[in-house]
Amino acid sequence: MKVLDPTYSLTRPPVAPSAPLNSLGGKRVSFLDNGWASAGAIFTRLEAMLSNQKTPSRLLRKSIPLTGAAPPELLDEVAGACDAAIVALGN
Amino acid sequence: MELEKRGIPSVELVTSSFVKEAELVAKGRGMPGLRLVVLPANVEVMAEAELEAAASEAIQQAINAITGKAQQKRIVAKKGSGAGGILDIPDSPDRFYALVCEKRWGDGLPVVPPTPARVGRMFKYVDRAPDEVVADVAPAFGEATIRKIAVNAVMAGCLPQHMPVVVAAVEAMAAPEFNLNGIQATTNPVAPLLIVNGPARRDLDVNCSWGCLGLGWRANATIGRAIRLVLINLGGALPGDIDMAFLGMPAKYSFCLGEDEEGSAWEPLHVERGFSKEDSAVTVAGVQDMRNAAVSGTDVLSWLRVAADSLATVGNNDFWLGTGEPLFVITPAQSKALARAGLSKADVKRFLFEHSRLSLEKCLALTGGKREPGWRIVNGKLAPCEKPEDIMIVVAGAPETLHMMVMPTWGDTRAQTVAVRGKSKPHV
Repeated sequence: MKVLDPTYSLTRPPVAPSAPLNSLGGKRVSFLDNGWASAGAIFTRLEAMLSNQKTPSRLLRKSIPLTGAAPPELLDEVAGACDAAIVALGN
Repeated sequence: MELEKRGIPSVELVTSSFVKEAELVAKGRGMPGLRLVVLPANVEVMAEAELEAAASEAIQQAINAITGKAQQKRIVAKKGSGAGGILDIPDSPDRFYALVCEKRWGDGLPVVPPTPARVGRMFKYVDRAPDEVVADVAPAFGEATIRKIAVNAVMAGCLPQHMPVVVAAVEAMAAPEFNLNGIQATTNPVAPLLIVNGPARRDLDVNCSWGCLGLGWRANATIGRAIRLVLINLGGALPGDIDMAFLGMPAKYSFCLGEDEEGSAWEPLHVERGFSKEDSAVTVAGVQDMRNAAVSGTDVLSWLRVAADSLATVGNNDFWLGTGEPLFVITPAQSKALARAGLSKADVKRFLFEHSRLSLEKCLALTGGKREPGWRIVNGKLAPCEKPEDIMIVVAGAPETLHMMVMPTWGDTRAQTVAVRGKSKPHV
């Protein structure tokens, strides 16, 4: 017998991520923290590593919701103030 | 991904438990090349040395990813029959059931084979084209066309006349305020509760009375199940892959009831939410728990105090996030007794809101002093929601007074009500 497939098909053309940076030295890096305990543990060490570079990076920490999408205004703010972002998701 | 679209190179940190979800969402949103760094699970409870090593490794990987020094794994879209549409399989119920289980297309129970003839019949009561996209279903953002919804509705055992309600529920869940992405992927045991209002209840024989949250009614069982299959097959939410509910709950199989509008002393839920009594509508609410409140005697306020007490536990997500829409199912007889005592639906909501508070002192004692950032503390007490109007009341169940059902919600979701469009017909 013939049956129809119940699952979805991907039809959206893929979008490439933004071009990488040459280095993080001297750059403004945003850390988007979803408030989970593990995110805090990462941030502490990230801050130390980026600060200890030959040309330290500036780290901007922002809180994002644990359970939903970050508000567009926050994303616009981060995009305007930073050169790169590290985002903590899930647990 | 949104930062990437704004031209900011970014990398996502996820633990191993959530990497499949991250990949699926990235694919679904059209960015399979999203940079991911995977950490071990339970980072926060690691021993210090282990944490130091894991964090340092992850951070270095993240830096390498942003600076183009890492060979990022490209997330390849799964080739699958989803794009093709029709499979030729042996004409055997056992073989079909085995196939469904193997491909994880179902909920573990036998399904009705979605043959072209069966699916074709499902369009009869829907005034929309089969290829019309009703919604993109998070977190995979698979397109829920009328046809794909019909395929899943057939598998669930729906009749053609159930389709308008199923379609309306899919629309409702896709509203951004419902936060389906969060509901599908959370570690909490959340299931969308479907509440049917209006003439469709009678036309489709949706149970609003004895056992309406249980078994035995085709409309309740199959409409609810169709939604679950849509969430699996079009939203990608398989247990342990994307659906990260640690334990899940039985309501994830099917969760649908009708409101007993005729037995209620108050205006129906959909009228309260802006529809006319003559409209048929479906409301979806992100419910994560069900608690029976056994209420006895004739003191109606004692019923409400007991029900409020059933809601008020510190582990309830409504309190954890402080933004809930806790839902109470009140029986028709209870609603009439409350109304005779002079209480409107709004009065009942206000009473429940005031009496479901938790003392901060008690909560801190229970949590060992840990204060959750989402706690909504007002005058030293935690509230489950922002205001009384956030409490939802549905009148349903047996025409008796002994039980109420108290349903905490997930917290970061807002219930949505959508009109049922199309035709309905008396139950055959």
